[in-house]
Amino acid sequence: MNIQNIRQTVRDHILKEFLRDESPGVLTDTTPLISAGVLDSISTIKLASFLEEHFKIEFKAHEVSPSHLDTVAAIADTLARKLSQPKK
Amino acid sequence: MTATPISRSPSAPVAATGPSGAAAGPATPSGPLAWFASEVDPQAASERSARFPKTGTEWLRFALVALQLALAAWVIDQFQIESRAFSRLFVLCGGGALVHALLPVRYRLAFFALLSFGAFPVVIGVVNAAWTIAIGLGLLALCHLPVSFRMRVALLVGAGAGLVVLRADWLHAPWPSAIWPVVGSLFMFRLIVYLYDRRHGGKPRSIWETVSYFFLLPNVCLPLFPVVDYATYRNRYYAEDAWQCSQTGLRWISRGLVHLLFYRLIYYYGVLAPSEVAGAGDIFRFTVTTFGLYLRVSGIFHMVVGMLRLFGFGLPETHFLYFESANANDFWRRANIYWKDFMQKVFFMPAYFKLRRRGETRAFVLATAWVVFNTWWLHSYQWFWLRSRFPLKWQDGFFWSVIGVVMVWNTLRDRRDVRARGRRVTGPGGWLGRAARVVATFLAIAFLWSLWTCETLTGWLAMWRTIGSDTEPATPPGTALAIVAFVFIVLVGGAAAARWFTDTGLAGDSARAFARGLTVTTGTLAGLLVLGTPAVYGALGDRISSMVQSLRVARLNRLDAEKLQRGYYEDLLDVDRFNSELWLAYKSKPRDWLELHETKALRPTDDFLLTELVPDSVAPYQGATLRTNRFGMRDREYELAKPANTWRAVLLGASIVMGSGVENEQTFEAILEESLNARGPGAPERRYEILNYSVGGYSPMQRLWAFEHKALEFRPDAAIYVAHEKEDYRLSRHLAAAHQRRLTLPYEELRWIQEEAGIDESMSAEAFDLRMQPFTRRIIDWTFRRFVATCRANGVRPLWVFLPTLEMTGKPKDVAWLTTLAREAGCDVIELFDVYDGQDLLEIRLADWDYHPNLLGHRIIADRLFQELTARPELLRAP
Repeated sequence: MNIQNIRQTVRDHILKEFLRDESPGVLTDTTPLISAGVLDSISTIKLASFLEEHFKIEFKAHEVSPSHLDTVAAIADTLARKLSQPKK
Repeated sequence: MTATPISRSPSAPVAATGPSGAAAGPATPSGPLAWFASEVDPQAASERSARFPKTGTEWLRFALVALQLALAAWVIDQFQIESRAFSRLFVLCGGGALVHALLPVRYRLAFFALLSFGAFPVVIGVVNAAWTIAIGLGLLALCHLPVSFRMRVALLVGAGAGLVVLRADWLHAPWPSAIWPVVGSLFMFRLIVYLYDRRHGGKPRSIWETVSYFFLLPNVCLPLFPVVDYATYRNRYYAEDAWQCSQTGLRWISRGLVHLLFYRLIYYYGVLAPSEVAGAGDIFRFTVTTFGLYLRVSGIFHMVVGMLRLFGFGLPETHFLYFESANANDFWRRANIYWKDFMQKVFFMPAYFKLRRRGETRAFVLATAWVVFNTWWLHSYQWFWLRSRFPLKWQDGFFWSVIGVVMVWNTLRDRRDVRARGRRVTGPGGWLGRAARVVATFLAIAFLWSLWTCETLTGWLAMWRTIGSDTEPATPPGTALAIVAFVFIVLVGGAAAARWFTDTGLAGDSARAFARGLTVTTGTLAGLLVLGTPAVYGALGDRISSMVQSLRVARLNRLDAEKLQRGYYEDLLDVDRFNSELWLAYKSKPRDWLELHETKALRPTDDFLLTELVPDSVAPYQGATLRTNRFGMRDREYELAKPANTWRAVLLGASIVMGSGVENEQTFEAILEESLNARGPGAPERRYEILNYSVGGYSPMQRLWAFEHKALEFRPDAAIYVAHEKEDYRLSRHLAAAHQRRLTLPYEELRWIQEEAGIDESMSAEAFDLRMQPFTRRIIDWTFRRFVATCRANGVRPLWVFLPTLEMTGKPKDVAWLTTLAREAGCDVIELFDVYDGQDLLEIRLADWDYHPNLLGHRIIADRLFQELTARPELLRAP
């Protein structure tokens, strides 16, 4: 799965689950999510659970943070990095 | 719908960086300057305008930022925001920010760190600064030792334990105690965050990043400080347009100023003591104003983050419309957001991820409970470093338990319906429902807050029992209704305006966003400046004028001034943990700043006087030396027999008159005597002697007793009784102390009053106080009459002077009864209500923790008394 596909999947999920009344145009790759309050702790965990399930990866506690999940671009980078790591 | 960047908060950053932070590694300079360079990608930084201004637009923005900084500094000075030190710090910060904006980006971190270091000696003095920096660098060295992470943590825990021993005073620390709140505030939470992020994140750009993170510039003045997240601090460095970053910072600074002035309004005019509450109106006022005092925290935090944004740190806001919370979880997310993030990162997420294999619901509940528990004890941990006490109060446990239960319940409900929270509130029904939830949440939190912050449960419960009682309320019904209406308008209006706040284009780096931020900030600051101008507020009517005038002065409110004054006599250092004003006043008090009863110059007596100064004593006292003559006066030596051609007066007063904190020759008594001998009527042939028989803490009856039993033998021509606004309070304390010592009152009239009040020997001091309180004015009246009668019987002119303390917050009319009693008793009266008018109170008081007049204050009093006495020469003659 390339980075664009990852971004699209993430974007679709966020719009569907957390920004239902918003136009898709408002969610760009660099729109802040956690630091701007779009995602709170519960939503962040929900998002992480979805990503784990969908991409068959596992997050560590410190990764569920703005450093890794604050924007669609950051999420995609984190996922790409995780997907490229060999499975343990 | 437009494509405006969405946010739930107006401060939404506009760009984000990856996990590694803002920049990739550029080529660093060589030579000595390399040591000051930090890794910042010059290309990326330049795109964000973090470069020397080149274009006309950039220079214009630079000038506009400078203008707003000047306005903010002016407002801070005009309203005496926080402290004089803060005013100086802000000028340093503003000037530094402008220099910083002209530097190459790679040197800016080093400059910011060095500027922060430079602020320490400016604010806390060279010795304190050296100790603080040395301790801090020692802790940082432990964080970076080339040993395993576990070993570093163990060493830091060991160092922390050593500091605990010293902070608790189990062992004497070699450094001044004044540095503890600063050291505590710098490291108590940031070390935890730093270690966590170092464990899981990348390495710092340079040593300057680490150093600047711990020695954050505003922290030296503001020990109540947000828990700035290290990862955010480094990742948000020049992650957005530099000018917009500064502009947002300036907007938050102006917002912080507004919060602090609203706080001051509530603190001066709103708060009641639980013992003053009578009825529903008072209870409403008590609960909402107690909660309203939190504006001080949000105001300071807005200022702090605003100041940091001037240096390129695109930190998010710390509070977001928290009075508009729609439930407990919402409040948790909006008030002190940095604390919430700290808890989430260090406690919630690790706990949740550890527990989730056993079921998500259980993990949510336990992780939330874990957060609440840590919030509870870390509050006490914070107070330990700031105030050396670890207050595990039942109120804290109760408050956090209730919040915890409600949060768990809300969390479970939110988990089931996470989608609903992504929906916008629409339509009148939706907004009405939200407004109702906001009002209910506000009232519930204010109710809990009042319990959390009260000193005793008994006092809190007694307050509620006054509903329906006949006691006259402190708040007139009209005022109570106005407070209710104001609170509801703010809450409901705020709920409706929330959409505007979340949707405006204040975020973003466009020219439009900069212009809007500029307009809001400049308008707010200019508005405050205009409002604080005497010519403007003077035209707004007496009431508003006096209110605005009082807001321009940083002082303790009526209740705290009383506590501070009690502290002079009663060791009242255990200030309430929520009383930040009084705590700030006390925190810098040196160990050797003794109260009078702690010196060897005061001794107990067996009679009604209770205490007196020891003759021929020399004692260090509040930064000066207290010397007494052979008669036990704080004065030079006099002969018992009055010399020829001399006007002699005895002076009867309390601590101000005795000269707390100034040298013998600097008291207004000594200065006045010198002035009269140099320029008084008939001088220099005619001599003047003023014998100071004042003693700190003396009540009206002690002054009378000292006059009758000590001063009269000097055959004075005049007796000058100096009163202040706390005559009744001092009298009741004196009588209660005499009662505790089982002393028989020495005057028959007083014994009758005691009988009438139903006093018996076995009564506790509190019960005695309560019984005697209705009689204090009558006793003062009797004291003044007795003073005049004794004067007349001995050919002495009775002079009565009203000299307010620097803590006096009331108006002359509040103490007019004292003057009336003195006049009716037959005294010649001199009123000095306005003696401090036009003076900056900060300039004429001894110290932040002691409101007695300093040398300048004594000079002002002496000059005024000289004018009053020489304008009425008959006062300087025998009666």
